[in-house]
Amino acid sequence: MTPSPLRADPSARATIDRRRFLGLALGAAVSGPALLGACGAGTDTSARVVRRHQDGILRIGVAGAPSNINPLDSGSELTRWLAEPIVETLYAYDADLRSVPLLAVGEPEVSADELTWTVRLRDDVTFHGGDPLTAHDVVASLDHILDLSSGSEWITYLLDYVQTFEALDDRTVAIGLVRPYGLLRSHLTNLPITHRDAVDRRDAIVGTGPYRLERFTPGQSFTLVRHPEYHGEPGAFEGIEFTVFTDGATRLVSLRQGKVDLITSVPYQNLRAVEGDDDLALVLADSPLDVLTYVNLLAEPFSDAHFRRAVALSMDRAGVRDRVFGGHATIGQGPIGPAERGWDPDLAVYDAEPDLDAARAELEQATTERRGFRITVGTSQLGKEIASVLAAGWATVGLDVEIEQLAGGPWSSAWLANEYELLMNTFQSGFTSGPANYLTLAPAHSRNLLSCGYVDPELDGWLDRVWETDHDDERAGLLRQVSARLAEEAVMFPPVYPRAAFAQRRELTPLDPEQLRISRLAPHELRFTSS
Amino acid sequence: MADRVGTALLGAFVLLAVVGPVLAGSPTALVGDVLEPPSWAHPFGTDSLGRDLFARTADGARTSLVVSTAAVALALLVAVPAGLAAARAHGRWPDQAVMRVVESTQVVPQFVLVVLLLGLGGAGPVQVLGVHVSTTARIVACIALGFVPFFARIARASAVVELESEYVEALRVAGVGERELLVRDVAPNVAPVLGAQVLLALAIAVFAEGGLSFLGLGVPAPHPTLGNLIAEAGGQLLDGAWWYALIPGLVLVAGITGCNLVGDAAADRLVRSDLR
Repeated sequence: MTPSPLRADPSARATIDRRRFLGLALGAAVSGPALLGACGAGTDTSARVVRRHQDGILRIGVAGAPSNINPLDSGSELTRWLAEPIVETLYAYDADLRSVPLLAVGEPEVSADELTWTVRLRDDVTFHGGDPLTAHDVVASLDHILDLSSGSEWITYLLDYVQTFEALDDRTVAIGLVRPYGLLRSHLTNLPITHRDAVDRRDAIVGTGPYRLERFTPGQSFTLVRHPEYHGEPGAFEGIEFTVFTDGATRLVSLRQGKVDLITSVPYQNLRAVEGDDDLALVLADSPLDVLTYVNLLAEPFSDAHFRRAVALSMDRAGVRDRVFGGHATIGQGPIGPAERGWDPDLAVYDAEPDLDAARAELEQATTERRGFRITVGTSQLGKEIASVLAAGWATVGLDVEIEQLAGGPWSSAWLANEYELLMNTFQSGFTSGPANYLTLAPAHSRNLLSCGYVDPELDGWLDRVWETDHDDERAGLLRQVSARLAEEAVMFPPVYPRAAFAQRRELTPLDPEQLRISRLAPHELRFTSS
Repeated sequence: MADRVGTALLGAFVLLAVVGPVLAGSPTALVGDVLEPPSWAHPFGTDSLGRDLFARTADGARTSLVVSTAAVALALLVAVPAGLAAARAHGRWPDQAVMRVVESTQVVPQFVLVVLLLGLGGAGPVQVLGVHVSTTARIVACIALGFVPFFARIARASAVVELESEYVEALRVAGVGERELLVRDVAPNVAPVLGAQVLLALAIAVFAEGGLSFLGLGVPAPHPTLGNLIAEAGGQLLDGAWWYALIPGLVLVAGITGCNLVGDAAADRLVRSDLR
């Protein structure tokens, strides 16, 4: 047998050929983690965290960062958790979630015809740059959101109602309405007021809050420092630092290692890992966290009421609750959940388990020949998991479901252009609506810009009245009716109402569950337990 | 020894990809509790939603095999005629034009090129000239495009050598036409050289498909791929679900290593036969 010429060459021993490289790589892969594990063992994380707290910086790990940080443009939690210590509102929620004056002095004066609201401002408030708060800043903020070219999310709340707004003097703002709008009080309690020079900027936040934005690296980190001229009680921390960890497990590991004190959006699959760690506290909060679920009634197959009901009846709600949210969710019915105004705990249109017989009966009556549809979700792992569980459940009644994942921009475009069949995403509504959820309901109104094609004059009337009344009890009663109708007609039928999940180190005082009911972290109200 | 290890690894990968999906149930059905460790009922355990990981890994291996084989085949279909045509026009402008295009494409690393092409169109199906192109078809086309320069250069270089050899001169003297010469005589002699590289390209294609899925640019949910299984499993390690990432990871490593070792051995054999 002739030896291989390549192997006969002694220099070949010194070279790293493909096979030798694969062997070396395999060895490194096996031994590497063991070495790293050995290096990392035996450190006292808690003591290290207490030492770190001497710098007075609260560190928060978040799941993402918006490219546009202007809080006037977005009510998403990514923007607003960052902006929360920086900007303030004319009115604010107190400990019992009642709206009380903050930048405003006293209650607004409402004219007899309810078409003019006059708000007077405090005279002891300054922006982070040193300028005093004036009515011109409030007008500039309103100007920005009502400018169609700004793309502000707030425009959907105000467009059909707010007609004029003007500074009567440096301390007085008058808002003129087209028709009575009781919901305006809620918006004035959530709309951040920004310095007039910063309202159009996407790379700056200038507010009157206890902390100012010192610097940031887009998509990575944001550093806030205490505002020495703050008009209220100064913040307990020298600064607050937000760091982005897009991967949930990495976020959690950073908390365990004491690199951050608090993390948002804990992956539901990792809740047991948090519960099993004595240094960490898991916070599961009733929060206006919605699984937005819209069907497009303008086209087949969801234009067919029997098809819609079949889909709603065969939805595996228990599967989503248990497999995706680890049991930390309430079975969904209509669009209004347990943490929101108008929640009806007695509403029971759908069972937790799919009613396959009823679904098949509905499908037999359906006139559409389609036996499948496309579900469009966001790009998050959570969205994919919800869609995967639902698709597996729908397959049992013969519905073939295609899952489409779209990033934020394309997802919103599909919604606005009605280019979807079943649209789904998670959304924290508290920053724009407090303990309510008005944006979610907007597509149910036949005249709304985002209408899903559902036409029900009675429901339109209820929603008009929800917007108009300034009585919370009446609004809550109407919202219960709206939620029930939308569930029964299978127009909006989210699978579950999840509880929001946060985790924090025990060296930090606990998050306030009442503030979490309106999506607020209120980080400036926390304290280090060691101090 | 390495040949046998390679053959065993590649054989196991192909066996899982071909026979696994037949034996296993639906890869998307919710058949067990979440994160069950390996057992008789679920040999590879279950995932975070309670789906059988054997079914999902086998289906993922099948997807890897189909995508990588289709991508390499498509690349050969384009690259070999281009390489032969360039060789036939050796030194003249068609040869130079083909080679400059190939070289300029090779400036961008192959995986980066594929990510760029997929990223430009966004993840998901697209309409091209009114034709619906699925995500899988786009992935195949993009990976194939990355291989075209690689195969075209090999085909051209081998064909140039063949076209300058004595037997080709003899055939020309005998009156055999250039086209027939290329197709019937040169191409079969170029094939073994390409064949050795095909397995190495398959390894790269399997890796590329896994990488794309890991990055969220691969075959869409709920269909499994080895890459997205590994990506999903990352967070579960905190809960001690070692099997979730390890088993699909080992299958992917087996596929890539197997292709590499067998391809390497084939190249060795080719070199030895040339030396003789």
